[in-house]
Amino acid sequence: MTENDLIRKCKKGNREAFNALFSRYQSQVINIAYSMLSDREDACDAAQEVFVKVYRSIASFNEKSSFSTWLYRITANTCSDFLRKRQRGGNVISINAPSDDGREFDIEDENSSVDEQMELSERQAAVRAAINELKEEHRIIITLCDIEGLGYEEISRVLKIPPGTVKSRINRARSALKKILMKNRELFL
Amino acid sequence: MDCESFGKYLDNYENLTEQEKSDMDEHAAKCEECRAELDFFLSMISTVKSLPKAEPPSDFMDKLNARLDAEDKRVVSASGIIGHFRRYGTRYAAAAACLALVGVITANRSLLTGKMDSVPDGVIREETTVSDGSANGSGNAAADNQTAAATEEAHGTQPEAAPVPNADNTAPVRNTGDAPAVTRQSGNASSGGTVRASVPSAVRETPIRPSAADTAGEVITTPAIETAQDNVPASEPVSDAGGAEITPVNTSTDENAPVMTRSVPEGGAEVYSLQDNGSEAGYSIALASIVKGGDAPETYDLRAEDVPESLKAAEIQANYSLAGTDDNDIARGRYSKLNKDGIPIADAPAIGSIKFSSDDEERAMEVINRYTVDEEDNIYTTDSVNLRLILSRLSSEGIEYTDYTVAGNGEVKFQIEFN
Repeated sequence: MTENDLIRKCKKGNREAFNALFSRYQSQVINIAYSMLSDREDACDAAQEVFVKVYRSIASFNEKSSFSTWLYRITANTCSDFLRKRQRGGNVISINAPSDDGREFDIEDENSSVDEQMELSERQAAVRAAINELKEEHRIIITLCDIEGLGYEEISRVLKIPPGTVKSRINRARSALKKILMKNRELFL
Repeated sequence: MDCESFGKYLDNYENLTEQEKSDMDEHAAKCEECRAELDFFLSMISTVKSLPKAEPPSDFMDKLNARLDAEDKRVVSASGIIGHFRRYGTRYAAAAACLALVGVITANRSLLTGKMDSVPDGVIREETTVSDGSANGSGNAAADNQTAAATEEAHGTQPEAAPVPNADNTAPVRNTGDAPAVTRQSGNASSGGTVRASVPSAVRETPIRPSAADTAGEVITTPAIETAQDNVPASEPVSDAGGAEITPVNTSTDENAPVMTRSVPEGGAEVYSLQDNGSEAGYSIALASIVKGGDAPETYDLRAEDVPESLKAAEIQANYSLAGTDDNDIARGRYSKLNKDGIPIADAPAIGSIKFSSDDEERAMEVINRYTVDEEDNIYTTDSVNLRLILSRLSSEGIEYTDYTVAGNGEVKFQIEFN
């Protein structure tokens, strides 16, 4: 069944269609949320919130843009809410412990040695921590562009900013990330 | 290429052409320091791209479905209450009227007794309660008019008649349920004094004016829970935008067809005005001047559902498509009525507002965030069902809010302020 068929069924309140649609996108939404929030549990909570919002509001999706664009925009906004709540609550997420379930170390690459895998996971942990220090607009642009691999045009539609601004914001975000990672520079050389 | 240019190129890496990247490589081959910078940068990017994906927990969909089930119940429950009041509102109102009558008689017992005892100065104050508009199916009319009328109220202009059910000068209208209510308590009608409403505890009031034929100065209030409605009442003729440049937009040969003009007041938003010669009703569509990513203001479609019904009826919808957007953008343009000088009423937005005490900020935001689908620049978007849920949840959590207005059709947009 095509995505448009699913969406049409969702608009009629068909729960199976919602499940099929959400199953297709759950990984992407959780990953965007994870990159934004740097906490797996928060990411899952945010993803649930995103899908509940979609469930409530699918009728207002006018299908002029792709569903994924709409979904990613809701995801970005929901994560922003989570970050604001976190700031208000004074919660600080520590991600220096490389991961909460060891997945950061779970790199399966037969061609790399154990040492190389360890180095990579150290770099990943450092990058994850650095992303967590970025300001929100830089965090989301790095997430969408470098982690999720969205194109400039789609990012432009998700964030409602011109494509030119997407590029310049990516440059600024990467510069900021580089600055934060200077203290771990030796990991990257 | 020198090291300084290399650094600038690196900061602008995403915009570089292949040739420019090749120039960087050429320089890096000769300069160890720049080579290290480039390696560091590329290694960082490649690490970002290699970050492991988080797999959804195995029970993710189960938990989600449990939440969706809860959502279904909540929506059914909210609409059930509203439907219930709609269906049985008149019965409740009749019962309330009886109770109120008993109350009035009890409260005025001494006066009545005094009257019967022929006390010359005894005054019997009248208070009667009758069913509200939502209960008898005409409540929407009141809600329809409340936003526009509230806008007029705020600006001290005289709106067109806002039909209010049972808008008799002396008969109060009362409703205390979740359903939209118009409540009015009358003082001495002949005095023209302001009357205030009683509404469900946390549901505050948006004043609307009754019919122009009604008593001057009388204010009717309503907790506007009903779906957002058109913001532009079919009333005043509209003049041009105060000496601004005006350009005819439509070219209909029908002299009765509404005429659209575009004007650009200096430093102001673009304004599209519609003069409906047939009915002598005037409207304007003011596009908010939203500037993004440069000096050029962006314009937005006014979605068909945001266009007032009366304009749709005039079959000139094509004129509202003022600028194209190819995605699912929510209309950020706004239409508003012009004042007598032809200037858009600044605070008559298609974006409503809710004000909270800053003490309630956290709790209020939790409710708002739960039931809104989108937020940008403090403009929250939801729909009418979720708006009801927001208001109902705010009430049940004892969060007080004021200055509540909504706007938009289908989609509901509002902004939030904290005192």
